[in-house]
Amino acid sequence: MSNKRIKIGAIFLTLVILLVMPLFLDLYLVHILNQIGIMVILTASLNLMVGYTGQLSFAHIGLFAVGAYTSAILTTTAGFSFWTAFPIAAIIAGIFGFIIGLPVLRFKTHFFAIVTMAFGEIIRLTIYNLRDLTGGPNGIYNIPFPTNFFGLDFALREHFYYLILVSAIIVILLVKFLINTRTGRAMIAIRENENFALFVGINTWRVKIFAFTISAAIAGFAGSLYAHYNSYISPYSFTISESVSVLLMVIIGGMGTIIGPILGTTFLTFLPELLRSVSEYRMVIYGGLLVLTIMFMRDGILGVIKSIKFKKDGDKRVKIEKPLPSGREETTIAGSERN
Amino acid sequence: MADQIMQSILNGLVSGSIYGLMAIGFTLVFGIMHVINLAHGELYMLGAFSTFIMVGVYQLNFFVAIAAAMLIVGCLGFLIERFIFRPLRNTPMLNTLLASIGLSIFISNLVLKIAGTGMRSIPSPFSEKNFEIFGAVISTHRLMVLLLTGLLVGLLFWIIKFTKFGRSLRATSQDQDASALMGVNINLTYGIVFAISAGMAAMAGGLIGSLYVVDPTMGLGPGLKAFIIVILGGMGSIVGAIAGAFIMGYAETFTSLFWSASYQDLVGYIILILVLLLKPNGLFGGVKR
Repeated sequence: MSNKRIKIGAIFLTLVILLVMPLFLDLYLVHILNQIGIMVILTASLNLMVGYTGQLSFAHIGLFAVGAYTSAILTTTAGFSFWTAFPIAAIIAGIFGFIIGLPVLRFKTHFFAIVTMAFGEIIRLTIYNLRDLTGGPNGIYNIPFPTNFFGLDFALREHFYYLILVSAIIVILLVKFLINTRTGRAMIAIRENENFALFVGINTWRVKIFAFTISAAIAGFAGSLYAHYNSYISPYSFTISESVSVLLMVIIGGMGTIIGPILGTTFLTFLPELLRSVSEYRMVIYGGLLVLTIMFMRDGILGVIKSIKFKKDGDKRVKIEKPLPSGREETTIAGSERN
Repeated sequence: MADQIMQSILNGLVSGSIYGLMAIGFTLVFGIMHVINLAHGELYMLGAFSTFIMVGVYQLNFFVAIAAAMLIVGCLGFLIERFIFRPLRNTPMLNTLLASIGLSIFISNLVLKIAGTGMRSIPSPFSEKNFEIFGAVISTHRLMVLLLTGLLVGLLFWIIKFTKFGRSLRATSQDQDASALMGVNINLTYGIVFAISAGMAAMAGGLIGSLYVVDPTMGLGPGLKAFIIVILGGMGSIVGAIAGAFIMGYAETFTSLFWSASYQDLVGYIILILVLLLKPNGLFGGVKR
């Protein structure tokens, strides 16, 4: 029981720190915190697919782009206010997710990965080529900041912080709630063994399409925040390498957990700041880290922390969660075998 | 228009054969080792760079340089297999996929950091003489690319079908444990397969680098395309990889002829999705699921 009390205390303390933080930090750090906040929402959405349902999606950067562009186009050309465009962006991204999910979720493992990657790129290339609507390679400028709300002026970074904070908390609570429902349990069952989940009577198709739609909507939500925070978007922010860094944030923190992606996002955003002298090597470090994480700590940072904690407690073994569904397909070189 | 179509047929043949060179190496590694190597494009880039350094800086003969690049990158491939993919061998396939993505980011950004951006090109060793076939023009260089690619693919087929090593390759791809019991050195076989795959990518890099430009990000596109082609043709199938490469090559050339060059990449992805929807295992279905 005391353990639970400590947990509640820790959460409360974190909340208070998060609330007062921008009052003490300089603007640059607040800016970094805001970026982390937006990425936390995106990684929470990706974690829902990769970490909980076990489907390695590369399409989320595209759905993030759909949210960003929907919101930007609605506010700049159609005269919508941010507060109406924000939920519409999430809904449109969710619809996109549903439509993409219909064909994509038929595939498993690497087929799923490549097809989602294809859809992510199709979205980006379409944005790139629809010059009249999206500005093509030039992107969209002067996306308005949200109008004032409760005395908060969102043109200021330290005020925008609270919007991002509240959104991130809502999304995290939503994900946490979702995981504890029947559907959430079904998602985890699919991650562990899809055939078995089917066998025990879970409608795996419905669960997967639900998870994909919800996570797409969350990605769109993050995209809308991203567009209005930076007030500028272009297709170059939504490339495959961005998609890989978001994935890395989920993996390096510890996928399939609530805190993991938050840790990963914070770590990977702060890392280049801490190592300012080598920050030019940011992507080199990212690449190296991804290889090392996969090879030596598959449960991410959180897994390492847990194993240290458990070692102190005695010889309780950490439950090793399989990061992704296994499936070593039987293959042959068809060309040589046929003759 | 007829001339243009003829020209596109020739261009598609050249780009298809280069895609084929990339895709065969990729599918070989997948078919035998069950490893998806997304760093394949970076090996291609390294091949182009080593050829560039040897020809441009040390003034070596072009063919010697390409052979040396194949050897160097092949050795690198062997080491990559030993130190990254071997420890991951019996883990879920997506682990190797992710590790190779990390490797590809690592290599390309390291080279970018060391060499910087900027256009380099390998001086072409061939004369400017062009051949004319039915009104379409092909340069000596491109013709040479076609010949070399054909030669290498033929050699590979010969190795797989008729040599002892080829037989152990086929055995390993069917059953790793049984062939180990029959005296096949699995570790060595895997290492050599990876080295061959890397060497083929390096040759493609050297040939392309002399046709266009050499830069550290040049690997991303072809690497992804090799993946798409291999899935299109059927994972693990060499015939499928060749067919997929030509489909891709022709789809792209004809899209830029009839529509617009900016839709080139889009077409590749759309074909991939359509094929997978209709024939989930790819055209030549290498993987039995």
